[in-house]
Amino acid sequence: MGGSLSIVRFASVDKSYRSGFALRKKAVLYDISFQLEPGEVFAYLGHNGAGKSTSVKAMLGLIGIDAGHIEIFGTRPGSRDALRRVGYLPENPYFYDHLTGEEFLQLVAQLCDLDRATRRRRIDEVLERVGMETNAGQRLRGYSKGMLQRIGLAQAILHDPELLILDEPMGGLDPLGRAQMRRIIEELAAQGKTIFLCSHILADVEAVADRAAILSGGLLRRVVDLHELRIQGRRIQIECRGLVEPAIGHLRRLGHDVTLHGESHHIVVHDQSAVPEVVAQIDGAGARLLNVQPVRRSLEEIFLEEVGHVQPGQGPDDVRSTVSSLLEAVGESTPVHESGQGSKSVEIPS
Amino acid sequence: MRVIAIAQNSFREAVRDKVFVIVAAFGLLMIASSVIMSPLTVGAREKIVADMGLSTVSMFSMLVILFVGSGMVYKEIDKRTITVILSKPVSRLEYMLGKFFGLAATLATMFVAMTGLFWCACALTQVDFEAAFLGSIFLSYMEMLVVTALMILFSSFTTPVLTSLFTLAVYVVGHLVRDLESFALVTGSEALFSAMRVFKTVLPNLDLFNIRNAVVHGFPVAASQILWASAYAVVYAGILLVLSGLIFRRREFR
Repeated sequence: MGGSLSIVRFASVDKSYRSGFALRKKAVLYDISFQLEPGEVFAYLGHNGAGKSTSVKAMLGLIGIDAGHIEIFGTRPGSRDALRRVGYLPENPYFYDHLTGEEFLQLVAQLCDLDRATRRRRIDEVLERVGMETNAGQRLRGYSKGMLQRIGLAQAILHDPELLILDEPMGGLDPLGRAQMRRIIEELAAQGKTIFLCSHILADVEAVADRAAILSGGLLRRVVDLHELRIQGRRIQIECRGLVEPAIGHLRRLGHDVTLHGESHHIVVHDQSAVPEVVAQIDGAGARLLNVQPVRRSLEEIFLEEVGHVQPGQGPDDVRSTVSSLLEAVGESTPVHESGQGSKSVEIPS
Repeated sequence: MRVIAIAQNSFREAVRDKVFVIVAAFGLLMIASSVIMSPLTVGAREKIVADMGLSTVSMFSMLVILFVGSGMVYKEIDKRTITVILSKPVSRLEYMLGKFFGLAATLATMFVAMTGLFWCACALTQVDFEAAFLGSIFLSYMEMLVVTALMILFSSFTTPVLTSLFTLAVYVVGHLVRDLESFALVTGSEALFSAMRVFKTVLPNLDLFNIRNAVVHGFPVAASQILWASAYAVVYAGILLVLSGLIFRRREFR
C-alpha cells in the first residue's frame, strides 16, 4: 500500500504522558504503525486505556507525539487543510449545553466555513439522517446520551468530510440506537467515506469494518483483514467415523482437508456447495456421518487471543515486561516481528 | 467568520450563565441605590451619584470577568468540548480570539445596560449626565479589555482559580505601577528601582484608564488622553492575545 495515497499514516509513533507530579513518563503508545486507505472502514480495537483515544487525538493534532511520524491527507495532524476533510465524533461527547441542537450545528457549520445556503441545507439533511429533526430546537442539556451521540454524529458529518473518526460511536446506546448508528455507518461507508472506528463492540465492528487493528497496552498487536475472516467463516467441518481409503485420498484430491481426531475424521470443506458431494462420498464409503458445522474464527476470538494476557490500563512497558516474563518461563527472548501493516508487535505465547 | 462564530457562542454562553445575570443584577442594584442615597448627601449629591455610578460600572464588569470569564476556557478543556471545536479547521489563536471577543461583547452589553441605568439614576436625582461621564465609562471599558486579555492569557495555561488570582493581582499592581517606582526611589535601592522599572514596563499601566476623579470633580480631560489610553489598550491586549495563542498552541488536550 503506497504511503502517498493513504488517508492516514502512522509510522513508529511513540507517546508518553507524565501523570501528576510523577517524574517518570508513562508510555501510552509504543511504535504504532498503520495506514488508512481511501474508502475503507478501519476499526481500532482495544480495551480501556489501550491507547485508542490517544491515537485519535494525535491524528487530529490535539496532542503531540514523542517520536515517529503521522500524516493525514499528506499533511501534518491539526493542519487546516487536513481538518477541513475530517469529521470527528469524540467518546462520551459533551457539547455546549446552553445551545439547542440546531444552534450547535449552526456553530459547527460556521467553523467549517459553510456558506449560509449550504449551512441550512446540510443542517436539515444531517438532522434527518440521524433522526433528530424533532429535537433540534431543544437545549443540549436536556438530551439523553443517545441523543447526544446522534447530534455528535450530525456535527461530524455536517461538512461532508472524506474521513470520519468515530470514537466509540455505539457507547451508551440502546440496541435500537446501536442498530441505527450501525446503519448510518454502513451508509456512509457505501458512499465511499473513509471511516476510522474505535470501538469495544466487536460484533458491530465485524459487521461494518474492512480491517481491524488490535491495540493492547499501547502496542499494535495485529491488523486483521475482516473480509478474509468472513471468507474463512464459510468453511464447513464435517465429522464422520469409519472413513477409510480410497475415500480419504479421493476427498483430499478434491481439495478438502482430512484429518484424524481420535476415532473420527474431520473433513474441512472450503466451498459450501461441495458439502452434499462430500456427504455422499462419506455415505458411499460406508462411514457414519457425525456432525456438519461451519468453522469460524470470530474477531472476538482473535481479539481475546491478542489481548487476553493484558489487564486494562497496562501500558507498553507493563506489556513488554509481562511478555518478557512469559518468555523467560519458556526460555526464549522477546520476539519482535513485522506485523501486517509493518508495525512491530510482541507475540505472547498462549 | 470562525472567530465571530466562537465569539457569538461565548457571548451566548456568558449571557445565559446564571453568574452573569446575578452580577449584572447586583450592578444595576448598586446604581439604583445611588438614587436612594442621594438625599442623604448634603451638598455633594452630584459627586456622590457620579462617583458611585462610574465606580459600579467598573467594579461589576471586573467581577463578570473574574466569575464568568476565568472558567470559560478551562470548562471547555475539562468537559472536552474543546476537542470538538479544535477538530474543525480552527486555529488555537482563532479560538482564543473568539473567546476574547465573546467576553468583550458581553462586557459591552453590560456597559451599555449599566450606562443606561446610570443615566436614569442621574435623571432621577437631577444630576447632569455629562459627556465626560461617557469618556470615563469608555476608558473603563478599554481597561476591562486589557484585563480580559490578561485573563485569556492566564487561562491558556492554568486553572480558573489561579487565573482569577493572577488577573486580580495584575489588576491591583497595574493600578500601582507609578507608585511602585516612586516607592523604589524613596528606598534608594538601585536594584529595587531597576526591578520596579521592569515591572512598570511589563505590567499594564491601568491608571491610564482612570479618569473618574477628574470627571467627578469637573476637571477637564483631554481627548488626546482618551485616544492615547485607547491605543495603549488595543496594542497591549493584542500582544497578550498573540502570546496566549502561542502558549495555547503548545497545550495538549488529553
